[in-house]
Amino acid sequence: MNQDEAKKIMEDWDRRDFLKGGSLTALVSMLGGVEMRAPAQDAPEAPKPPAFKVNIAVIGLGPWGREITHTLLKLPEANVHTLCDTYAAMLRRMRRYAPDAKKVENYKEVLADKEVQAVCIATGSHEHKKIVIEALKAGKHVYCEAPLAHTIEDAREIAKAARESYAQVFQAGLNYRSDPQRHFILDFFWSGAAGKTVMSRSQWHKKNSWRYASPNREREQQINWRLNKDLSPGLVGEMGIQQIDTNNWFLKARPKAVTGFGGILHWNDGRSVPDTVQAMFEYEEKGNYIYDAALTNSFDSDYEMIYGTYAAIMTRGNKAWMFKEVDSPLLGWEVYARKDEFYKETGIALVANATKLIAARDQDVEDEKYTNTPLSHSMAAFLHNSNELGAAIKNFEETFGFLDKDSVLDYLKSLNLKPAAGFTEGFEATVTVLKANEAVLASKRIEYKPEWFQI
Amino acid sequence: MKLNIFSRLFLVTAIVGGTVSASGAELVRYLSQPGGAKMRMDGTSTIHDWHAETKLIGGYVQIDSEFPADDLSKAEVGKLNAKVLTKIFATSFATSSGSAMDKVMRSAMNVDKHRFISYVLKEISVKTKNSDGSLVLDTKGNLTVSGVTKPLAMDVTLKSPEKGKLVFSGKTKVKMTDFGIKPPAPSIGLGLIKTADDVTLTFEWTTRRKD
Repeated sequence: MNQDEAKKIMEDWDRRDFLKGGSLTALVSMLGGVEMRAPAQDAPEAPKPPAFKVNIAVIGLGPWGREITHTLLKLPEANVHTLCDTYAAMLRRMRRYAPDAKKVENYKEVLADKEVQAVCIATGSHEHKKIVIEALKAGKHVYCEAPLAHTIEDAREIAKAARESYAQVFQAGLNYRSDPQRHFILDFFWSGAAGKTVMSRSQWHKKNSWRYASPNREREQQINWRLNKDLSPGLVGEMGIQQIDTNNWFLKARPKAVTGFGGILHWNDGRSVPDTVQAMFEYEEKGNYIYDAALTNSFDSDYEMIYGTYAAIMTRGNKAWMFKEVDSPLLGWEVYARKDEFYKETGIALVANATKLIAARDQDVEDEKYTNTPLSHSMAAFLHNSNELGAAIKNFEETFGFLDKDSVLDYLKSLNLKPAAGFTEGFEATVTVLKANEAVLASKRIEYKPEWFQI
Repeated sequence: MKLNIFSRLFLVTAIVGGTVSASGAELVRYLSQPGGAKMRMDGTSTIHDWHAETKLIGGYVQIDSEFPADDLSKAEVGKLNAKVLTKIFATSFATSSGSAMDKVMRSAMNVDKHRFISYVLKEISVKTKNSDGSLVLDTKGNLTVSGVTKPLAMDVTLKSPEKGKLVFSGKTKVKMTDFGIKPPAPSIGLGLIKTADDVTLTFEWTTRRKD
């Protein structure tokens, strides 16, 4: 596009249209680096070949492992090299989606394969430690689902191993940390636009049993580990970790205590993990954070709220809104922002990628399945960072003939990596939710001790 | 094979890293050190200034063994017997605007085909001696970027902060188009971003004697 064409496009859109889908911040972001799209009537550009490809394996093909696989299959930078699961039926199931991927039942085969550069570990939380540590020893870049483990001790061992493996990427599965929408809101929130935080809350509601059908007892115990309190971090650990971590991230704070409640209120099928839970996290001078999760009712699905003295901010999936107080300062851009009605409230849309709305003339653009989700951004970050780090280590070694840890770490700081959760964030979030789960199971208050968070 | 004293001395010197130049004078090798290098490109565009930086400068300096490398105040103005070869991976540069601009830069430099930026020294002399003990060197060499080689003349400052260590620094201006690189005009930003042709190169390079 030349300068004359660009000027004409700007003149065609009036100011209201241009800013309707976003803020001045978004405009500045757009000029800085968010990809702009031509107006909807132009022919779409042919996709460019990827600048790099990473040979990646997925270990664990339960529902989330399959979600990861489908997401990777949509990313041009991913070559889904190998799929691994102890259950052959899962491998057969994935054959039609990833026909060219190797299918193996033993993770050790994946780790021994020199062609595999990166692995995603999506097994049960209680099985992470062994595979992660061996994968790091084998020189692989590792993505480990969150929570890192089902015990603090195991999570600590994972974090220690990741810290030692400075020449490899370790990414924890806290996918919101890679989500551009949340980064956009983060800057907005940290600028003080919502005022002083007085409380926050999140929920995750989805009526379902969490139990998977299986052909035999052995398989049943294997796939329904989430229902066993000896193996499972429960709802607050398995589902809540994403939202609880996001709350800590936004508040830049660690809770000082957590009080939990929970019970098996509907799915009385022999499980020992509560199907309905509430947890309240206490923070210093940021109010309390209330989290609830239910397998017993689906109303209002999942969302996060932060309440401030000027506004409340809601995030839902990859959308966000700000609900202003009548006495809060006027932000100039909000006059042009899109507004959505919520019962008695008017939400001002906070949109990171306003350009899509502009191109689609303000209609909601439906993303293709498995794309533009926090998981998709997280996987894109993992692939990018694995490629960048791998190339950087190779460049360093070829330049100097050896690797000097301190110099390598200093050099790695200069790399342009995509935002993602590392072992520090993963461990911090894991400790937070494991103790919350403990509080839920015992219906008690637990004060967090600093030494629990030390790696 | 029986060696006389001179042959043995020569052999020992060669083993510990010295080489002999075409003129017969012995050259001492200094190798690039991790943690002591920086090469920075500064440029501008229609939207903002930008820079790209790397900490990986590979290569070596070979300098006349008679040169007082450990006490530069004793150096004499005049021609210097030395060789320099540096090599920088083009993909090791990180730009100021993040991974999107890294991609633009790598594409413009055609890094898949031309992996390195390299410099080979042709001529060097001590130009002036500074009061702080450093030297200003007059250098002429060949700079190769994106597969295109151009002569490059620039002043380089030489310091010896400790025994066995030589630190070179300098600054020069080049044009992207001199090396066959079209200044990028990426499609982001409504096509309004156009990079300027002029680039300032600033470097600092630490080498250590190969003892």
